[in-house]
Amino acid sequence: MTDVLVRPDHALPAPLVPPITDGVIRLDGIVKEYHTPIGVRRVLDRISFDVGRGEKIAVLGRNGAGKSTLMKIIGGVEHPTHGTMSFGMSMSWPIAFAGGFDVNMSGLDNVRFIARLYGVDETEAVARVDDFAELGRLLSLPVKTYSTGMRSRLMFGLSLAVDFDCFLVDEMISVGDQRFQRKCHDEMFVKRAHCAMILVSHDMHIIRNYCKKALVLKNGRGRVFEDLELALRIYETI
Amino acid sequence: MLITTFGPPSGFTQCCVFLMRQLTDEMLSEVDYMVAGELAQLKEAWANRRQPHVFFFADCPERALVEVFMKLQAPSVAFLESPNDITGYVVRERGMAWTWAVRLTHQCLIAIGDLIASDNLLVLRREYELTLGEFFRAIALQFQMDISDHQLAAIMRRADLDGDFTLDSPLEEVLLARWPHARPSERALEGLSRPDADVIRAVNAGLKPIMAGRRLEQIDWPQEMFIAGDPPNDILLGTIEMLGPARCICYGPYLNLPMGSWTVSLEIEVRENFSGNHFDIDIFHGEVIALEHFAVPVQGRFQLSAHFDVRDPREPIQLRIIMREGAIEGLLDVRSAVVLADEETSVRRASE
Repeated sequence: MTDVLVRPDHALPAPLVPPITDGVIRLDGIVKEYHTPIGVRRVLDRISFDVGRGEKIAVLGRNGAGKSTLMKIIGGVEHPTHGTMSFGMSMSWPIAFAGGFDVNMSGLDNVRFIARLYGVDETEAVARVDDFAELGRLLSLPVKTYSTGMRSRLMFGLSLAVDFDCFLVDEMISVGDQRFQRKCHDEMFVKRAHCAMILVSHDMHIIRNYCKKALVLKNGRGRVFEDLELALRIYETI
Repeated sequence: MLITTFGPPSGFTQCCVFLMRQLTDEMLSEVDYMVAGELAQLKEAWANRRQPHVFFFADCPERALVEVFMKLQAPSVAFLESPNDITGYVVRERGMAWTWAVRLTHQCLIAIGDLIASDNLLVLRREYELTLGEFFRAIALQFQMDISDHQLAAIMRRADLDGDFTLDSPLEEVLLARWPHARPSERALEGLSRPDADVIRAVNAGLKPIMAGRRLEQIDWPQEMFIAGDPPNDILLGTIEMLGPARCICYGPYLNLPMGSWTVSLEIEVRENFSGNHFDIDIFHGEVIALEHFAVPVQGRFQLSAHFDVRDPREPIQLRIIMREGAIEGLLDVRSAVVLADEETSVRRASE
């Protein structure tokens, strides 16, 4: 799956569309601004980085540094004010993001809808989600009746039902009890070890074990570090 | 009798102390030799003395010791030469890095600064170009000893100088012949690189008032006397990369100041600090004695001033720039640090 998203700021000259490189997700000069009653607030300021096939990059930063906004922009939930992104491989939505549900539909209908959208066999998708989310008959009930934990499990299962090349993970490991967290961990990091990943996590153990590089965000600015330990040392005091 | 001598750890001081010891041994016979930097050491040595006469030497006396000798108003002698010659000698004799040799030079000269200004002190400077005879007679006169030609000849023999030198020989010749690390006056920095020698001359130039027995009004601390906070913690040369975890990014100069109130003006320049940061700039003098905390803007050149008091001239001053947050970008230049004596100190000292 290959796609390109270009969102030029109307006030700025249209940027050149970057060439799509197969197997690479590329962000170039991503800017995100919000208009607030006290003026324009820039939450992301010229963020650029690449993720290659199978590569796992950690996104580190304090609360408010712009991590979640970046995840939403990469996931297509929000548009950048300026900058370009090119996708040379398929990209998941943010794993813990529940905004794609229609809460009036049942869990099963949501799974079927997503399966159709992404060209995945519906029966297989339902079976995968049912096996993973452990919701049983509750899958037939409207999602609005689900607890937060149940919704997270459904969303996580749904993300795994599609064979993405790259997963966008935003603190997904906090789903469910310890046993379920282990299950999530195995599904994501063991069974999908070959997949690329953009990973937001405060769990240093996971980052050290699975990531080779890190993007450190501070007040909307970002820098990619090939030296993961240096990135973690900076993050610890940022 | 108490024979008191002061002087920095230089070749000239060592030569003069050696010659003075020959003189006191010849003239007074029974002399205990004491070296102390602290009052407690002096008290202990004094209590344990076995001879009626004491020859005391200090190269870097603590303040309490200086005050004792200033109150005592006993005759004493100090040996002085150019701070650059002291620094060069220390580098060669002790194998010390030039930065630390400069610090030792400042520490010793500032420690004895108030004594140099004292009326009871005879200052014998290398630049006087004394002969051996003039040297011995000046010392004898200072301690009210009558010295005969016969005794002078005996001192020359005792010092093993009688074969190669006469009483008309310049003291300088003895120094250069017998102290292998000594160099002709104002040539002690030969062998060091030109940039290093230039920095040494610039830092040591600030000591001129001290050497002249006057009050120090201003001293400039160049960037090279500061130390980069990142390994290998070397001399600060050029721009500091802020990139990295929160840390002390620059400290130093570990130079000394006379007692009193001072104001330091530190000029720094910040660039490319788009993601922001906070700095603590403090002054450490045995403990943190002044602290400024501020948010660092994206770019700009700033001057920070901090007032502080020096209680112990032997304790060096350390200025520290501490970056409070990890940084993903940003550049810092330490442009200059200028220290000025406060007006109050000036008035108080003038009335002392």
